[in-house]
Amino acid sequence: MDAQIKKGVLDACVLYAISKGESYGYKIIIDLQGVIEISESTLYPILKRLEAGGAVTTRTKEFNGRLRRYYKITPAGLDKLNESKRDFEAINAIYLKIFGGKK
Amino acid sequence: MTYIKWKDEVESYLVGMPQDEKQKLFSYFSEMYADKRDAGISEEQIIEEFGAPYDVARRILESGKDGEKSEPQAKVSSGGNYNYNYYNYNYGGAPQGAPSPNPAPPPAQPAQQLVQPICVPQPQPQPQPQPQPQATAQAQPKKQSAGHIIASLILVVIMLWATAFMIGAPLTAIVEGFISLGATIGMLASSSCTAGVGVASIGMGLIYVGGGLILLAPLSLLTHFLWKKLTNFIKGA
Repeated sequence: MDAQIKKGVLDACVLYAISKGESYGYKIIIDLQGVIEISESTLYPILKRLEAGGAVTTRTKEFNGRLRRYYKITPAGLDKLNESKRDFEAINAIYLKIFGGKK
Repeated sequence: MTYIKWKDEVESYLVGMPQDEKQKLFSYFSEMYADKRDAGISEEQIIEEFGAPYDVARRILESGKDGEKSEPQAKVSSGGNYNYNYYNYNYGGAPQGAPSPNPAPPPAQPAQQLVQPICVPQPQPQPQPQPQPQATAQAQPKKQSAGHIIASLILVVIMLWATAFMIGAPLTAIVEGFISLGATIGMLASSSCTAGVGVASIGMGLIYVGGGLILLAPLSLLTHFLWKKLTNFIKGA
């Protein structure tokens, strides 16, 4: 898969996982199991990028005597997720026109 | 491999990455490790899931680059070397008009493997770290702001003055002590001063020499430590 497309899909998947409620690294990976496999070292730059782009906000909270970083989607993040959804629908429509639904 | 060893190995490949970035990265992995341990996963299994240190370092360095290849520096001992790849990672790409990075070394593995780690859809052979000559890392230019350069210059001037004081003061005391001792012994030998004055002068001389010797070692160590810190600051480590 093209790196740019893959990047967009991964961003959308992570945003989708966070859109269901405030989440943290390990939970995001668990939530996406069965949808797409994301390794820990792949997730880190995605979260960093989403945070830098204002799509998610973070806060650190104590859990079991240690600190855990929680991610929450922002309105800009929701817009981005909806935009991704529209993009994928458009891509899918093109795919269906070209290949007629055949693999 | 233990988590600590894994972390140390990843860190050894992240040459040039700022300390605070490394801290963020490893607090992320430490949190992930703790969550997985809480979920009942063994340390060995977690390390396996995290991936080979070299691959993880490469993925982190590549993350800000679109389609460009980025090889971690192979355990270069001097932490001050600047990694152009990390520059891209940090700022989402080199600024327009910035000089091109040095030619990349020959690829360590097929280009396809560079893309695979992003989604890890299937197992792949673990590439061995490719040691790179230190000269390559040194040749990569370091970007520093004018403010950083000015601050570095000011700190160097302050450190020169502090070094002169911290090393010069005990040395001066030692030399003065010896001069005082020599002069007093000479005066006593020529009977040009009383025994009481002579003893007092010798006492003062010994205090100077002793005090100087006692202070010289810790102040030398302190000076060395401060210069090391300053060097790291100048290198941006």
